Amino acid sequence: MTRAFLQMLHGPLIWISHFSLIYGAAGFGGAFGFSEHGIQLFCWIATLVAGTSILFLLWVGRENRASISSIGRTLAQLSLVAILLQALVLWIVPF
Amino acid sequence: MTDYPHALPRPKAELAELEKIWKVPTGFRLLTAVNNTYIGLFYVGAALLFFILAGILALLMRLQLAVPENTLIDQGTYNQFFTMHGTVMMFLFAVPVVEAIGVLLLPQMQAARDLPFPRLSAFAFWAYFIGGLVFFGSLFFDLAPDGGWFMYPPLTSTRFSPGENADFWLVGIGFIEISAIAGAIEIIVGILRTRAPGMTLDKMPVFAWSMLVFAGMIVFAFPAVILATFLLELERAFDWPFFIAERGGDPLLWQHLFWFFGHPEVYIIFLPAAGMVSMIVPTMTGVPLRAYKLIVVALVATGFFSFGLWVHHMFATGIPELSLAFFSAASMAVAIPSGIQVFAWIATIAAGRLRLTVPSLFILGFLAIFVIGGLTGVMVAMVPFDWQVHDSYFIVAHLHYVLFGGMVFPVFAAIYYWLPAVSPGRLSERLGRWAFALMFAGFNVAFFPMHIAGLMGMPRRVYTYAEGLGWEWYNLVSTIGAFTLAAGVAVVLADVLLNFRLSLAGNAGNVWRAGTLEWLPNSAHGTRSIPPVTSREPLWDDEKLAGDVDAGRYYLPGAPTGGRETLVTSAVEAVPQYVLQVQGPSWRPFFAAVFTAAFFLLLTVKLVMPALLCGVLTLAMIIAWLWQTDPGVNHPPVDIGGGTVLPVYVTGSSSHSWWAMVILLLVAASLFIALIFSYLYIWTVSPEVWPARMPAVIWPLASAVAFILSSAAIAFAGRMLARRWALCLSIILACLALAAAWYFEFQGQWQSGLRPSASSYAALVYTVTAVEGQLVVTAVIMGLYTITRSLAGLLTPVRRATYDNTMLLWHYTVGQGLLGLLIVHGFPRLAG
Amino acid sequence: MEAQQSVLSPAGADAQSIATLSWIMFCAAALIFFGVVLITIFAHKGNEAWRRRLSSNAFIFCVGIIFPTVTLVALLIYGLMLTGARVMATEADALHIEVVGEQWWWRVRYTESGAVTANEIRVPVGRQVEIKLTSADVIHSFWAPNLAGKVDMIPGVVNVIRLRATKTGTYRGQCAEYCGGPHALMAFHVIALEPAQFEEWLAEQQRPARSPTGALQIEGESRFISKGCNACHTIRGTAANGAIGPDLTHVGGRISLAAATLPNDVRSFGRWIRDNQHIKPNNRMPPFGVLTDRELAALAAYLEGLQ
Repeated sequence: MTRAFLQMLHGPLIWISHFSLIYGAAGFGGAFGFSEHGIQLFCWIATLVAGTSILFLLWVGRENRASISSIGRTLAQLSLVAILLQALVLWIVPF
Repeated sequence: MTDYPHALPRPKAELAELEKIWKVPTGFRLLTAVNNTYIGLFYVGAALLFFILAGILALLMRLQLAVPENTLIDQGTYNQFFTMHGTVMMFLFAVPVVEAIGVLLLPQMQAARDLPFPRLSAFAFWAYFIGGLVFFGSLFFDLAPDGGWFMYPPLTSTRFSPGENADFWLVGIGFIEISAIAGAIEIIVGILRTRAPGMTLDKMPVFAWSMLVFAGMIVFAFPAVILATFLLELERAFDWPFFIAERGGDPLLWQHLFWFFGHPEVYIIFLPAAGMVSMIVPTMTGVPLRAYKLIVVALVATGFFSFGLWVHHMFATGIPELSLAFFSAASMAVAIPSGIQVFAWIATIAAGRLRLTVPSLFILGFLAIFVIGGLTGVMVAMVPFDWQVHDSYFIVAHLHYVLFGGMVFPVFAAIYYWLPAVSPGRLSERLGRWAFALMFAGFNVAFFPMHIAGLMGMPRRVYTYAEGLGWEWYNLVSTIGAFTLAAGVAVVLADVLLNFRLSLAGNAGNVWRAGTLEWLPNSAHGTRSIPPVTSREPLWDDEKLAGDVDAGRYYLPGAPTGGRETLVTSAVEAVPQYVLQVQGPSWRPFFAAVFTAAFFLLLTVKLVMPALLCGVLTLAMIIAWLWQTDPGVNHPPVDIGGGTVLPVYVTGSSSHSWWAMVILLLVAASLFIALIFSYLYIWTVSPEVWPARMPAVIWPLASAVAFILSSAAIAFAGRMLARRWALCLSIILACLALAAAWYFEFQGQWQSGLRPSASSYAALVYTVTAVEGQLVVTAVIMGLYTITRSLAGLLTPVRRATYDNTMLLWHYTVGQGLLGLLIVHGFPRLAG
Repeated sequence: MEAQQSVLSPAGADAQSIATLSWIMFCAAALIFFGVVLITIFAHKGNEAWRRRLSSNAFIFCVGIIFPTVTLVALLIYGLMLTGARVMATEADALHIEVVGEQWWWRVRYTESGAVTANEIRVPVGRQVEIKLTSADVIHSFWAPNLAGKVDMIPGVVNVIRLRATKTGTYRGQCAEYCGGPHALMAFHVIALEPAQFEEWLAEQQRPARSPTGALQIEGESRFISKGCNACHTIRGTAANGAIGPDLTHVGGRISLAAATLPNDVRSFGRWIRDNQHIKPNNRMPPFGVLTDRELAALAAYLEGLQ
């Protein structure tokens, strides 16, 4: 059950963790006394880690023909797009 | 299929017995009915009643705005009207109606006999209906809330809204949300565990998928607004300053919590409607849905992404641009899944031949309107554009295009489409076409001009407007459109009154030649027998299926345990696991709902003693109702057919009650996470109210030790199920330790001189304690209940579901308590 | 006449860039909408070849995923650049103003000069104006659509909006966040003047009230004190120094009364003082129904004379 759950939802779960991390860092990092550069670096690293973990999991699961797994892979691809959109924000909007 | 699980003919008495067991009570005992079709229909009916009532408010508002500086409706009344229109449409119509359609259709779609907790659905319905009626009734006593459906403090705080109007919203809606959560738990367990054998996740009807996502979203989104209403009510009743800036609170905290619920809410409403469209389009085109898997992906992705949008409603609040931009980007991401669904539907139309029936018309109307709503949605997700149109009539137009187009049109399609499943005939095609034409034209005439009025500067929630700003014509046209739309709805009502007669066994049958199981011959007991499923459209693949099912050739053609039953299958592969004995009609859930509603409403009007009396009665009713659950192994394993022999009682992690308990704990956890977010958020806003001195460390340490002790005692009790006295003693010990743990924490704070009304910090610390206290009280009541069961001889090492549920709640309570201690005592030391 | 309160008639730098974005989005949305309608018609009525194409997975993939993703990314980049552009420095010669939202009017103070007014903001064309926004009670929102997008006014929070008017003119703004009671009647005007005219006006605003001329106006001045108006209102240069309601030192020179609810003339003053609870229900000023016609006329003449 847990296995099926993760096979299907790993992409969105990574997306939601990434989103919470970068929003948390940008929204609250300052209050904790982190510098803008530190927060920016943190956001980029989080984005890199999230993106590569999705790519890695896509690669690991590429052979799996089960429906759950193929739904999961497409979800992961969409989540990757969503993470890339966030990267666009980091790139364009000044801190 | 050639090998049927059962040979024909079936014994003569079998069907008669099945019918007798599932007979729906008549006369005034109809109030005790729990059958999903009846509760589902009551539910749909009640939701439509609220739709019409809130719609009448909208018409009155449109009359007032038809001309500038109108004096038809005064300011105070208008403010109540728009607050009630929004609140009733969202909380008493939109969410309940889709939940209702789910209750009505899901068991049939999955060939289950009923939902796993029929009495819970009955409770949820009655609580909602009674609570909703009283809430709406507040309008007639000038007591209706007037702070907007979003209830922003400080406008809704005691200082600016001293009357009871706001309390009606906070208590009434808080209570109706609890009913929605009860329904969501029922729906999740129902979808995951009571599907027909072989209906693996990838063969599940799309509507079931959409309801699964819907219910999952409720579990995570609703607790945030329940917490928000709880905090605001605490502020109003006891002056705990969560939202009062002078004492370190922040009005924006409310907005974060409200929209963390409020934005997913839009998709909570839309996704089931999209699911309905995905059911109707294949039937009307005669071919399977194109890109089924992509549609599932779209539903699930929307469910997740919609939680990254809440600040989308707060673009103008002065939050830093970078944060806004994250939410803008997430809003783009959520648009993609909607695009997938729209083009998958169009592709399905291209693959088959669309019959232009009334449901098809409503769906084409939906497509046109929803696409416009989606496009304006992308526009308002652009931060700079939103700075202009936010809180203007452009948003009023946008949200109605999304919600009315995206949800009401599909619901009307669903009414025309599914009513023949519970009525001897269809609704009228002729009236239906008129209704569609009036509604489609009326809708666009009413709402399209609002885009322009908004761009021309007309703000929302104004009871009047000045002449000469160029808004006159747009408003007049909108009003004409609104009445045309209302005429369309009236035609549908007339059609339903003329042509709908409730009849399950004598329903019209598969009038649309659909492929899914809800079109099998049905009755109060669902289908006669439960077919194994091997495809997404079983009725298209096996023409004899309906006849075979009705002859009783498949699983469980009778009632082997002599009571109401349904099949429980595994969550992913849908392998039969056990026969669940579901409960029948009873007054208990009905009266539990009546007393719960009375409890909350009496509290609202500050009649504390009568409220407490009702609270006690509620508790008594719920315990009386629980007493009949957990039947134990009261019957040897039964043969459901084809050599499959299943137990009739299962405990542990594969039982349906375990699942329901775990989901309930997820609800509690979401609420706690929202509370911790609030704590940290308020710290970032007002670190100056965080204390320099904390209670002595001994208090939290003592509390933690007592928590751990109580968990250990409960775990120990689990090994003593056979030894009654040891069990009782260890549960009593656990109760005492738990109460002590809570008391130490409370006392530690109190001794340090901290008082909740002093600052937002103090209020939050005591709220963590209060939320934990609710769990502690519940756990202790369940502990005492477990002892009683044991003393009554109803708890054994085998018949242990009661203990299991208590144990799950207990460990969660302890976990949350420990985490609470860690944050309340650790964070100030860390941050200070 | 140019629309006074419209997103579509920009007269400020911010409003201009948002209007451009809006028109691009409107056109794109119209194209996409008609495209979808056309595709649906083809899916329903088209010939076999068309319908085969439209029902393929490739179609769903290209039109349902690739096309929206590309369009949305392009739009997002545009939007983010505009969003980022608001993260800007205050210019050295910027004019600073503080506006406080109150139920249901706007308290305005010019930071550098200390001039105080209400429900009306005059600004010089071409110069950056930085307005600090906050609230004295509930949440309001400051929105003058011809000039810029809205920014909320939240108790305990100071938000900043930076404007630059590009054309002279009178623009209307309105509270955009529901603030209870007569939220509908909480509007204001922004008047963009040539710099020289603006300085002249600002200098005038800093002066105390001009002395009344004529018997009626002089009587009005004494009535203002004897009837208790001074408990809430300030008229600089007189004994009236109340702080609850709007400063009335130069009220006669403003273009509207009661937060852009009434035109500014003698008749309106009279109506407002006696009947304000009908004109703007629940507003914080008590109605002075006890005043005689003579007293009312005197007060109205006096106030109207405070140019």
